[in-house]
Order: sequence, then C-alpha cells, then structure tokens
Amino acid sequence: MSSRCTNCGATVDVGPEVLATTCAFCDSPLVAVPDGAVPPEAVVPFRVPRQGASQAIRRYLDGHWFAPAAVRKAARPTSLHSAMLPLWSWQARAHSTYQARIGIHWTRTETYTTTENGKTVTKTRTVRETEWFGLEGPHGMAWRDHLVSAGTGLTEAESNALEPYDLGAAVPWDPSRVAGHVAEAATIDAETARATAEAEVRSRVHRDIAQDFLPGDVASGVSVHTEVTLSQPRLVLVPVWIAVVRGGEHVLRVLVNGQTGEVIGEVPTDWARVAMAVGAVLLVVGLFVAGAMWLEGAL
Amino acid sequence: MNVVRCAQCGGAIASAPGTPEPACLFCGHTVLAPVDPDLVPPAPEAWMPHRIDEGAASAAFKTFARGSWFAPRALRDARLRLRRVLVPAWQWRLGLDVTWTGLVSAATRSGKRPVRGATAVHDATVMVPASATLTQRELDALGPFDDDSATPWDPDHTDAPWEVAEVSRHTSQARAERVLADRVARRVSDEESLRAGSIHTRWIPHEEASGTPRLVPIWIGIYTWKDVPRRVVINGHTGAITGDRPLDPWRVAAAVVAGATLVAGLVLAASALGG
Repeated sequence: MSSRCTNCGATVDVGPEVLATTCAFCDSPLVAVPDGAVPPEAVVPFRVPRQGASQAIRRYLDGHWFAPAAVRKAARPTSLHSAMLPLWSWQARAHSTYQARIGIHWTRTETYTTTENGKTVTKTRTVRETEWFGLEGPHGMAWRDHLVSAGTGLTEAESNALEPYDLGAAVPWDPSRVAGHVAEAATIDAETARATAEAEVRSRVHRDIAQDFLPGDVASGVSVHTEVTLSQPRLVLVPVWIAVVRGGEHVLRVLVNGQTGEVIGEVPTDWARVAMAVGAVLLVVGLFVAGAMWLEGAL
Repeated sequence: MNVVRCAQCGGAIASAPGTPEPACLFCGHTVLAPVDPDLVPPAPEAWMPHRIDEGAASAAFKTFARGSWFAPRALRDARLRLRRVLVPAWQWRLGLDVTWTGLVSAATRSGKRPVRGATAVHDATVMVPASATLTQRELDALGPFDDDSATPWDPDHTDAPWEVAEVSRHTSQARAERVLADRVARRVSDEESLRAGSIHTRWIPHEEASGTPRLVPIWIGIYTWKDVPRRVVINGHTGAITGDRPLDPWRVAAAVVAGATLVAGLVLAASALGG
C-alpha cells in the first residue's frame, strides 16, 4: 500500500502491517489504516520520554554484572524509536476446583550406631519426614486486562514480559495519537488471540494453584478443573521504546515499556566473568575452611 | 490552573493561576517542571475542606515528636514548615468472592493440618490513594476522613492547592480489591485460628462496584534533620499524624545496653536460684 505525504507530497510505500510511520523524505508523520485492518479501540499514551527510556536502558545494562563489559558500558542505544504496538485485551475470570495431596514436613530424632577409630559409638541425628493430607476446594481468580499480542512486532513472550500496562490511562483511538510514532496494525485476529488468552489463563491458574495457593511444604497429584470466562476483546495500542544497543561484537534488541519504564532484553553472558566470580567465591570458601582447620589443629 | 511536577519525588500539584508553588509540597525540592495540560487527568468529583488549623497541626507534630522515647529530644524544637494540601484518593464500594487455604495447628505428627474455604464480602468501603507521593500505608495510618463533609468539586472554591491524581479508575479499583482481600485474609486468619502467615487468598470481584475520585485534606510538614529534609502528613480532619521520625542513636544504644543487662541479670538470677 502506498501513502502520499501531506507535507512534501512524496509517495511512500507503507506495508499492510503498518498503521503509522514517518515519511522517508521529510520525516513528517504518516498515519493510514490499511484496508481491511481492524482499527484500534484505544491508545495508551507514552509516559516515559525518550531520555527516560535511554537512562532506563543504561541502568538495566549496568545492572547485569555478568554481561560483557562492552555491553554494560554501552553509553547509549545505537537507535531508539517509539512504537505503538497492538494488543488484544480481555477481562478474564477463572473459576476452578482442585484436588491435591499436601505434604507437611516434620522432623524426628533417631539414634544410630557407627564405628569411629575402631570403636562402636551411638549417635543421634535429625531425620526429615513428610506427612500427607488430601485437600480439595475452590479457587477463583480474575484479570482486569489479560493481554495478548495482536501483531508480529512483539512476540507473545515479549508482550508478557513488558506487562503490566494500565489500560485505565488509555484514550479513545484517534490517528493523531500515533502520529510521530511507528504504529503496527493488528495482524492476528481476535479468535486466534482468544485461544491463546484462554490457554494462558488456564496455565496461570494451574501454576498458581500448584506453586503458590496450596498450603504446606510440597504438593503432589495436583489436578485442576477450570472454567474460563472472557469478555468481549478490545484492541489497544501500547507504547514501547525499541532500542538497538551495540557493545563490541554484540548487537542487542532492548524494549522499554513506554508507560512504566520496565526494560526487557536478552543480555549476553560473559562466561569468563562468571568463571572469575565462581573462582573468587571458591577461593574465599577455601581460605575460610583452611583457616578453620588450622584453628582446630592449633587448639 | 497551573500544574507542576516535582523532579525529585514525582508529585504533581495544581494551583490557581497566579499562585505558583515555589517548592514541592511533598519533599521541599525546588525543581518543578510544568505538566502538559493535555495530560492532566480529569478533575475529582468531590473534595473535603480542612477542619484543623495550622496551630492544631503544629501541636500534632509536637505530640508526634514526644511520642517515642527513641526520638531525639531536639526533634520537639525542629522548625516545621506546614502546608495544607488536598490529596487525591479513590473511595470504592465493592465486593469480592474470596477463596483461601491455610494451615491450622492439629494433633498430627507435623502439628499442622491444611484447611481451605471460601467467603464473600459485600458492599465494603475502601479508600486507596491516587497520589504519586502518599502511600497506602500512610493513608491507612491517617485513619478515616469525615465522609459527610464531602462537597462537589469546584476548583475555584477550594481551601488549598491540590495534587493531581496519578492513578486511573482502572488501577485504583484493582488496588482497592487487593486492600479488601488483605482485610479478608486477616479476618479469616483470626476466625479460623490459622497459623501465622499461612493463609493464601485469591478472589473474583463482584460486577457491581462504584468508585469516586475525591480530594482529602491533609497538612504536609517538612522539617530538616541533619541536613536531610523529612516529611510528616497530618489528617486535616482528625489531626492523626504519620511520617519520618528519626532515632537518637545514643538512646537506642542505651536501650540495647539496658536490655542486655536485664537479660544477663535474669540469667544470672535464674542460674543462682537453680544452683
């Protein structure tokens, strides 16, 4: 699809997945909803300015101790552009029932005999046991905004990692809201995204029951039955800063939530630094043990 | 209406045109940047006028300074700069269906037994801050405001500058649900005699819920202690106060020595009696 720039008159090719971009000839904003595309219902405005995003990225990289020095010291992103990316949003409710065996640890003291210096001696030791109970009951959870990526600009994993977004701050769709940003049109339809949303809700509920909700120390044989209710979907555009950071031979893609400043990215690990850190810890432990043995011998 | 945001604590304050704030009301910082008028959230629906005056607020601080033996004596004479301000909050009426699990003490080998249950709470009232600077803990510590004094919002007839709400209806409702669920968890823990810290709650909010954005009256007091600005907040209706209260290290040390001496004395006495 092509679009004519109202500022310089140039005709610019705009892909079917692009809702807004800038003119390649004069940098003016271009907004055009592609034919057949679902227009977004609402737009979450940027709260984090460009400088704030740049500083957040720097703090994020500096906080990765085991990243290569060139990455940690990267002064600023090579490129940083603002994007409005489409997400489907549902209100979700999950009513579940569960059955599980709950394990609660307890300890007992037992005596045992062993041989020391050729003599049989009796000693005591503490043994941990687990007592098991059956438990079944209800579990209910709700999500005000369960979000699923509606485009290809963000993978579902990236979308989940960037959350949460406060959709209460969203304003109704208006092309002027995305002018000056790169905006992506929805290419994943609501039905496909709905299946993803329902699967994610079931998975979260199961994980929550098995790992957090059940009491006791361990759980086994957890079975869960969940009824998921999803509202009508809303298509919203959320603000994301997309950065490319170069550090030495490494090129990183880093994303910043344009509303909260949350930063995500895959930062490489410098295994030499890890080895040095492990070596230093082992050295300290070794010195400590040697000191303790020397003291024991001296006394 | 002028709206400025503090570069240090992030609080945004609105005031009538021609009366700009020289410093942040919340932390005393003097770098204030104007806020884009397009991004200022909608006005509150109601506000509550202050009832206590500056003298009563100052007296509340004196009582606060004397309220802990560990506070330095000089704190009573600290120079307090008091400003009245209206702070945004959401008042919610809502209900939850809560499911829970926990552990109770029992005559088992482990001494515990798992239990579970479900309960519902209807039409509860919860107030949550919509402020960038006032926390839920501070709002809880300030206690209730007199809801009957709430009057419809009119920016031309307020008694103080007001902080711009930073929390949407959407987010404040989620926070109110969490606050209410915590209340339910405490109640269930007491009623069911659950072991401390063992309860887990999950909830589904009822469809019917109503929230009102409002401005509540507080006094903010800023004082400097060892060159660091510190803050207290005072309920503009009741005089309840909460905030930073420094510790006197000598008094803390004296208390530790006295406690250690007492324990040592008790141990010696017990061993003497036992011998």
